[in-house]
Amino acid sequence: MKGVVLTRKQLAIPYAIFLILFVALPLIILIYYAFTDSAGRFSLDALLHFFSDTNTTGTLVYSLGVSFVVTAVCLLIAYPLAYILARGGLKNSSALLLLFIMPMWINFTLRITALKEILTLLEGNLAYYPFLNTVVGMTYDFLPFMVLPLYTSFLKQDKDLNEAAADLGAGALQVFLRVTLPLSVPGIISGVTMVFLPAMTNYVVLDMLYNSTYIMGSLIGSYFSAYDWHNGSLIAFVLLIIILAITLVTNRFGEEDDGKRGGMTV
Amino acid sequence: MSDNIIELKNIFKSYDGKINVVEDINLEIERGEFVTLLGPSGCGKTTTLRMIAGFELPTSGQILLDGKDISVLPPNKRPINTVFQKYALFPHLNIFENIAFGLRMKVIEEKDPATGKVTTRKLKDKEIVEKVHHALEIVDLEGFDKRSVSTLSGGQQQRVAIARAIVNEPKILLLDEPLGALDLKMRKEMQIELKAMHKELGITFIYVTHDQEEALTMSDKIVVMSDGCIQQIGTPEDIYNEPVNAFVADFIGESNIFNGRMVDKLKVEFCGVAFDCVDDYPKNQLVEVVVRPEDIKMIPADTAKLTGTVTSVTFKGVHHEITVESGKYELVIRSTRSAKVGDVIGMKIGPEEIHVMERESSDNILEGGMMNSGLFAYEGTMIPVKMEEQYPGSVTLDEEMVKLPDGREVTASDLDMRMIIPIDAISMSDDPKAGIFAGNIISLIYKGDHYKYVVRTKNETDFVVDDEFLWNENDYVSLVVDMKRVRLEVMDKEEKK
Repeated sequence: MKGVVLTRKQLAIPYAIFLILFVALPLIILIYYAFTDSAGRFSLDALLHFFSDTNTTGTLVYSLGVSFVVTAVCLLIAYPLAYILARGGLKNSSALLLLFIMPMWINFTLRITALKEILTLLEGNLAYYPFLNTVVGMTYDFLPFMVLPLYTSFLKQDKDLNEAAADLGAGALQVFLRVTLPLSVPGIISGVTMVFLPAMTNYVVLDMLYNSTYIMGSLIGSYFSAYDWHNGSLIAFVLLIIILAITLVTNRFGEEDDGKRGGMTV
Repeated sequence: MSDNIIELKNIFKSYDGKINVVEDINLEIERGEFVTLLGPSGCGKTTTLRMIAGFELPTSGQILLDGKDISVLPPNKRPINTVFQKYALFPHLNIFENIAFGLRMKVIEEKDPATGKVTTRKLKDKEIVEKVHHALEIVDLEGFDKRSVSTLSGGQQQRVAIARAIVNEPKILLLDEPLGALDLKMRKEMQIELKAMHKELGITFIYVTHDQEEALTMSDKIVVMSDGCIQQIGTPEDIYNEPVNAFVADFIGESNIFNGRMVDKLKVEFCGVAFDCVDDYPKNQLVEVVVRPEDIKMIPADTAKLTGTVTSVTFKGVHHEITVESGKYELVIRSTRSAKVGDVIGMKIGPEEIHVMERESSDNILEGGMMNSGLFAYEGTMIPVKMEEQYPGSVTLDEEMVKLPDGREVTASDLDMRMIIPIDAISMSDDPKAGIFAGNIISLIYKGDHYKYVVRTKNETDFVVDDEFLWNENDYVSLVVDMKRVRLEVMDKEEKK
């Protein structure tokens, strides 16, 4: 039988089609809507509206605040947790890890509904603590995304390095500060990126927790449900720019810190 | 008096209280020596090194540094540095910072000459820069300060690892197979450089390797280890010329090893021929004989006591390796002269070239007890026995009672007994159900006409077995015992203690 030999270019075709259909095309549509008016003419109305409306700018600031707090809380919980799981020498560390990853297997709305019941039981009326509930809900939802990359980065670290540091006179704290922590930076970066960005847009958590507050995602949602494609698209576009900026900054930070080791992609 | 920098006293190491990885290591190392721990993988040499470094704590025993007990001191408190097998350079730091790592940790004591007060301080940046540059000079990597680790070749990384260790001016430098990852040419170069470095620095080097040639080239003293125990300590010449047992002879260099017997004073018989020798053992003593391949001279067949037929010739550059069959024995000769396959040649071995060693008892002895009068129990294995056959003079009275040769009638299960299985009463089989015991081959030595195997069972009993066929290390074999040749003995109460 004569084998069919595919060149590298041919093999890339399916991926290219996928990329065009689901990444490039939507982006173009998004940008088109963001910079046109209802008659289809080029317009900066939506852009001007975004920055002149105190409601949107306020929401942007609030979203950034929520994202920041959620990311910080996730990192604070996940870092020691991942460290213990990867390095603690626990007998069933993989089973324990599964315990933290498993919520990802359960439907997201189901999880949040369950959380809502627990919070209602604790707080009585959910409306009293919108910010707290948002943070709790999102932390619960996003924690695995922070634990996993950190856990892998700890696992990847060569244990010889810790021994080498101790051999050269470093005590336990110094070993951590000078070797373990700097080498876990790529893990921290991917964790932060995977939590910070979704936390700005995932308004479903807020909605489901009867939340009256707005984050960027809620704004887009409300514009779109009112068939206002232009303002909604512009907000999405602004978020895209913010995401791009953050990615660039964290990537540079990571590169500086771990030299030319590479291996980390966001 | 000798000036020992480090002493290991009765060191044992086991994990989870099970098997001893290191068993009763006693070692004294003099200041400034280049000592090599040599042995096959899993012999405990790396574990020993890690205990000296402080990464592992001995289960029992003492490690004395300059006479002070450092057995439980953590690694960062020991004036000892390590060059790791896989270098373990910090990927997030450049070369300069890698080497400066230890210096930045260091706290030095200073005595004010005026007041006599002792103060401590960290090293100044200037001092660190100086020291790092000096270390880079020693390893020939000047100007590499700003390079990142990943841009270096294996050999260069190795040099950085050495610089990182010696920059701290340790009392002892530990090297754990540091050249293992380098190619042959690089390895030879580094061997010479390491040796030169040792001379220049005057630091005590403890080197771990499984490469006997490397050990012979570099060391002042070699410690040959196997199975967690020290087999022999000595200079490279001692170890090569006067191995204490067949294991050492086999491990160090090429050798012909034969079973032999002393037939007269200073006369040993092996390969069916009596030779003059210089090692004095009583007549009829069973011995093992080691002859190095380069010590067998080829002479015309008609003038020789020992003759044989050439079965293979391999050209090895400087010499030829010639295999000769003499009766049922096989000998390997190294000679600058060649021979033709099929030639009948004579072989001459001078008295000085024959190294004779006492042969250890070749019986396998199992200490156990009787379950009843027909069943010997050893570590959970039941072996059916017949008292009359295995223990001449005794009589089985019934299932429980036995009459001993001295006339006493005792309950069999009260007896502590020793089972003696002669080495040639055991044969190996690859059918795991064929024999009483089964285990893995942990070592084998070729003895000219047969192989001597050590088979280790699951519960750590070693059996010595001779077999003329070649099995591989780690093969799982079962041991078939010819019960007719097995003897039983009653053990005294005192012996049991």
